Parts: sequence; structure tokens; C-alpha cells
Amino acid sequence: MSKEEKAANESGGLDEEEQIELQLKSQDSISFPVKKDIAMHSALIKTIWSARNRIIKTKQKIACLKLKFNETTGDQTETEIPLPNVRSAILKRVISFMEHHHESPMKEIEKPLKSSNMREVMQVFLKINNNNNQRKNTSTNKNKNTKGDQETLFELILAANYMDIKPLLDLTCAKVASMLKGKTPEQIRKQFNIANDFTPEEEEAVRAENKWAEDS
Amino acid sequence: MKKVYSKSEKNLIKSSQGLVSRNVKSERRLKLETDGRGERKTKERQEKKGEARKNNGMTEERMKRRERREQRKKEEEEEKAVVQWLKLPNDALCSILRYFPFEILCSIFSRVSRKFQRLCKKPMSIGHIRMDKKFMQYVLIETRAAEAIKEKAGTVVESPESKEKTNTTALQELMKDKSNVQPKCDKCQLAHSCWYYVCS
Repeated sequence: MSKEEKAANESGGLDEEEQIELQLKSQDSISFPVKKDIAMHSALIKTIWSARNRIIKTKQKIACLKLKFNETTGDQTETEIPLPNVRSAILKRVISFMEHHHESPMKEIEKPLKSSNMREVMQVFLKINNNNNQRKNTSTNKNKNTKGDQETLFELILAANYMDIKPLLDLTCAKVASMLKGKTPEQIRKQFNIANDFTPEEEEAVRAENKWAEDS
Repeated sequence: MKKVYSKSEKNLIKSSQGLVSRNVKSERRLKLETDGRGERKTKERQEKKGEARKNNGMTEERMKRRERREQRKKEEEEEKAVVQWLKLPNDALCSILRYFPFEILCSIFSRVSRKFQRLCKKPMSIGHIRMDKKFMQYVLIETRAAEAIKEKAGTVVESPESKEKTNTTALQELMKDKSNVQPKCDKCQLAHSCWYYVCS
């Protein structure tokens, strides 16, 4: 616990702050109410909130009227945090992840990955993200949902990176790593839609440079 | 002065023009039929109509066009649906690469593309790996390695094949020396190749 937090505890202001519900506003302007301490898992929200608090405090110190503050912030309420890079469907999942791991923080994933089977990790992932109905869909329409899953995974990585939620980023990246594990360069190219920009000579040079790694 | 027509008069004029045009058409048809060309055309039309009735009011050409359009649409949708993982920010890509051992980064991922080759060398993706700097120098800088080999082996290297052999043997010797000196990692046990993870 930092000194600032201790000081806040002593002053008794933290209890009130913990009960505050932040409104996380998605790209499609749908707002989700989230408890402040849960939302603080995101470093982005943390910095926005602390910056906003600082502004309020300085304003109070200068003894400005609240009206003036409202003028500067426009129609936004004080608890509303806009997240313009995240869709509502993805934000919903991110929030459910944060809520799930608020009480029981996520264990660190082992590096390097020992197997390409992410079932154990995925079970947690599915519990958070999918309802029972969606699970039924995955069993029936595998081909359709694999693409959909990849899209959501891709967007989740983007959201985790944007909102700076390290455990979520680790989990999603581990999933992608498990998808790539044990594959040849060509298979990886197919998976990631990458064009081979090496000339055959260059490729041979790279192979020769890293011959020790291939031997081992 | 222009003559101003009433509505009824205008309608009359239009209908008369229509009659004229219809008459012209019928005359043309008669001409074609007498020539023999018209019969073919009428037959073709009738055939097409018959086909259209069979295919719910669509001719073969129309059906083909429609199929092509649908195919194009499908292809476009597929192109849109394919996830382009390379659009991920570099930090995220690096954190994906962190889940692989250094050998695989060097052997497989650096051969995927130039971008991947660059990413594999970034500290973000290999930051979790502790390296022996002396070993790195030995492996990467070939000239120094060759000198060291010459010193160790005490022979002059001539052919490229023999060069490779001496290289490998010298490296193996060096690895053995290093593995004796350095502590082994219990989890990954990569000390034999002088690479090991910081497991703490």
C-alpha cells in the first residue's frame, strides 16, 4: 500500500470512493457501470481517474465553483470514462474478466508454453466470457465460430493493450502462442496471413545464422 | 404563336404516336419473318422463355451472372473476416513471442518474415531470457569465433566443410565448459546450450 493510499485511509475518504460506480463508455456509446476498485485493474482507467481527481482537487483548492468545472468537461459526468477504441461486446467481456479476477487474481502463465493445448486456461476463459448458449453454438457451428473466436480474441488483445490490463493481455497472448506452437514458418504465415518477403538466398542466410538453434 | 393543347388533346396525340410506333414494329416483324431471320429469333425467344419458366423466371445467363455476383460477395466477405494478426501493436506481438524459447524464436519465427525477424530480436520478446554475453559474441561474431577456433584447434582451416566441423566441435567444447561453470535451471534445463530462463 502506498503512502497516498494510507493517508486516504486515515482520512476516511476511501470507503466512499470504493463505493463509487464508474461508467465505462464504449465505442458505440453504451455505458457499463463498474465498481471503482474493479475498474482500477485497468491502468488506463486508473490514470484517467487519478488525473480527474487531481483536477477536481486543484479546482476545489482554488475555490472554483462546480459550474465552472462542468463547463470545462461539457456534458460528461464525473464518473464517466470514455473508451473510444473498445466495442461494447468486447468491453462487456473485459469487465467480466476484471470482475472474475478481482477477488482471485490470475496466476502467471508459465513461460515457455509447455503444450499447445490451452484447455486449462481456456476453461477459465470460457467461464468468464461465454454463456451456456454460446457454448452450445461452439459445439454445433465450429467452422463459423473459429473465425468469430479469432476475431474476438484479436479485439480482446487490442482492448487489453489499450486499457493496459496486463493479466488479460498475458492470457490472450498465451492463447495466440498456443495456436502457433509446433508450427512451421509456412503454417505460421498461413495462420497470420503473412507474405514471405524473404528471397530464397536471405532465407538460407537466416537458416545458416541460426543453425545452432535448429540443431538443438 | 404556339398552340396550347388541353390535357385530352395531349393524350390523343400520345396515343396516336403510340399506334404509329406499334404499326412500325409490326411492319418490321413482318419483314423479318418473310426474310427468314425473324423465325429464328422468335424461336430463340420462345426457347428462352421456356427455360426461364423452368428456372423460376431466369435465363441461364442471368443465373450465371447471379452466381458470379454471389461468389464475389462471398470472397469479399471472407477477405474481411480473415483476422490480420500483423495489425496488432508490436508490444502485443512481442508478448506473444515471449511464450516461446529462444531456440524457436531463432529457428522458426525469424524465418517467417522480416518483421518477425526484427521482433524476435527485440528486448520485449526475449527479455525473459537470460543470456551469456560471451557466448552470444562467440556465436554471432564469426570472425572472433574463427580466431578462437584456430587458437583452440591449432590448425589452419582450409575447406568450408572442415571449417564447419571444427566450428561445431569447438562450440561443443565451449558449451561443455560453460555448462560446468554455470548453474543449471531446474525448470527448463537449458544450461547445456548456455541459455536458461529466469524462473524466479
